Amino acid sequence: MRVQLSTPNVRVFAGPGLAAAAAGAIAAGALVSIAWPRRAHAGTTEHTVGYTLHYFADSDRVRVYSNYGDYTLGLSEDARVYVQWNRQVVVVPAVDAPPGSAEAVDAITSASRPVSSRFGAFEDFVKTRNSVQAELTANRCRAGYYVSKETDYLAQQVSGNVDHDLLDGNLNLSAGSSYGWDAIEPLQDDDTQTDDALKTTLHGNLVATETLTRSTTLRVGGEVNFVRGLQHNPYRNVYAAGGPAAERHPDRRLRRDAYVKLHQYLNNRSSIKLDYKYYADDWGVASHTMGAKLSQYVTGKVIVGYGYRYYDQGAADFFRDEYEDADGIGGYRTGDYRLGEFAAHLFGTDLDWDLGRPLAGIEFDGVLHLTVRYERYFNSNNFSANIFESGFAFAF
Amino acid sequence: MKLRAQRTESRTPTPVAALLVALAALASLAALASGCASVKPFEREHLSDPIMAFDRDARHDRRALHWIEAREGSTGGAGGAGGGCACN
Amino acid sequence: MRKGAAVIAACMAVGTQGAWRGDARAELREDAGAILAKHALRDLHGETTRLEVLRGRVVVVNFWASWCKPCRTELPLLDAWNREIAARGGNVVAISIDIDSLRAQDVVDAARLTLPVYHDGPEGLARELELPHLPYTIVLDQRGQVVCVAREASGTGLSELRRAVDVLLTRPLAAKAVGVRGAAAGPGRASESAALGRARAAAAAAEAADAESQEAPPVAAGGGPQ
Repeated sequence: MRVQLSTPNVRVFAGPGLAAAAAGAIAAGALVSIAWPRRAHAGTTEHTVGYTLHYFADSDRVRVYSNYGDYTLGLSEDARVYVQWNRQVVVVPAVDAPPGSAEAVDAITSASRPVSSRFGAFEDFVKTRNSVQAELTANRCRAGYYVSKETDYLAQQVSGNVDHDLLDGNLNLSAGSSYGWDAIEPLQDDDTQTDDALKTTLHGNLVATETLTRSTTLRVGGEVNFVRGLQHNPYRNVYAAGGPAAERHPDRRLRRDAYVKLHQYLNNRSSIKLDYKYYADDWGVASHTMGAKLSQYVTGKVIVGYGYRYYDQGAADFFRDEYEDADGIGGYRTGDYRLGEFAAHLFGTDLDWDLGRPLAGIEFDGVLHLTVRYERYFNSNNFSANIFESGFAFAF
Repeated sequence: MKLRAQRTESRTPTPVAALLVALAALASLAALASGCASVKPFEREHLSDPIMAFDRDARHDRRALHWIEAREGSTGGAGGAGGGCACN
Repeated sequence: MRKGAAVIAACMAVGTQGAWRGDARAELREDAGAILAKHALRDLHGETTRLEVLRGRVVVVNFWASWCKPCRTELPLLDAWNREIAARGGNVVAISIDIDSLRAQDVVDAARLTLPVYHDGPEGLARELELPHLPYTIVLDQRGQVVCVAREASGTGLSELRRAVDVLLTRPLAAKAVGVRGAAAGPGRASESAALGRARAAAAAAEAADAESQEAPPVAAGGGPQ
């Protein structure tokens, strides 16, 4: 079934070699930083270089390898530039069923990836995404730009944020907004035909952070997102009236959430963080998120953290396991489990190690931080995942 | 599985009204805050500890938000929108 | 009078340029100088002293903490300044308000500081003086009176502090105690001229009265709504 969607009025920039451009930007930033006149005294962090390796593997055998590189240049006490580059490789495994079997047919029909002569169902589908994010912060104002590119998706976003201290610095009010525009060019797929499409996201948030006591801070925030455009998977079919039909979601979505976070310092150089978020949108999805994290100094230089997160959501109005009507519910039909009812748990632990100044006395003397993290995620849909992260930050 | 009544029209408040409610709530919070304890500059040692910082886990949270939003139906909670991604 | 006015002018400049941010109603109590003089200070080796032993010298007292980044930034500058003025009748001392003195020691070791560093914790002088900001620098004249305060001792703030201290060091025996608190930028600007006028009048009256030491009470600068 051919889905007619509005085509973008503007062809957004889709320059090749985004990774090369990002590497060039970071290299340029490094050159600028080397040439930047150093201050005459110590004790000021001017540059921070960081790298993080992120590995995700789930029960569907999907693997995601992410490399993050970031650089921060302190221009003054109130101003800084931040650049982050990310290269992410997603490996969607081949259909693990004999060709022609009912299981294979079902897997291909409901696949969330393109299946065609070019992208065989019985081959791993590898998708690479490169992104660059840049932020400038000055005088409590922040402006940012983000761009990410993969073979069928180009996303761009501009953002801004301002904040202000009140009550002798005991209360901070922050307001932020962003506008994102995504150009979607679905790849060739045998059983779905989706035209090029555009998706836009307008976001706004208000956050208040207050110091309650010498050892307690509270943050309260609210966010809203207005999403327009293509919001379903262009490669996925669902079963409706006994046969496959292309997935179809509304092209408008109003998403809202409100959250509260409490940080409490404990006597033995540890802290507990509690958070709660309520989310609701006009598709009927509503969810609760609760989390807790304990951070503890093991030595003066090593911090260990233990975290837990519980998530519970209700289904979208038009979500069904199967659709009796070919038209779905109100013209909408979905095979996206994220719009169904489920609960999830996330356990995590991390270690942060301040190695101090391992290059003391050398030209690029600086402070080195190492971080390793492991998280285990599982939900009531029998889906689970392991997430590993390790990285460093070098401030000099 | 819960089944909700079909609806094609949004019954949620308009976006402008929602933002106004949020602004009013924050303004109320600020007004209430004027009566709360004031922590002096020299009393902020614990508050300045890295394990108390909201920013300490900000970058990890943004990375986590990316894969979580690709596998769950909600969004947000980090005080700002994440970058676009092919999470359809 | 000329010297007093110069000190006042320098301190006003410190106040207006020394990185005031936000509400400028921060003031020290009238007897701050006496409190500073009498308070027992323990150095990082456990030795105890009092600032009153430095009576007759210009003393710059800097309050800092290891967890305060601007504090760590300005300490090396103050350290170099201390070496400069030590032979001219001045001293810079740094008082840490960290809960744990070991953290102060770590900063001292990392920055290789040579100026006198004391540890007093957050419940000592900081509480007694109700320090309005961190970092915070107080200049005491040779009589131990507060003549100047600043919220920043680096960049523009440091150069203005230097100017004020240089004035005090030029003619130490004829120094008159005219205390001035730095004025705020912004809404306080309109009242700076009035405050400067009052300070000048006070200095002139003190000088005209007698050559003996006649201590005029500190004159509050930046009076009026802020």
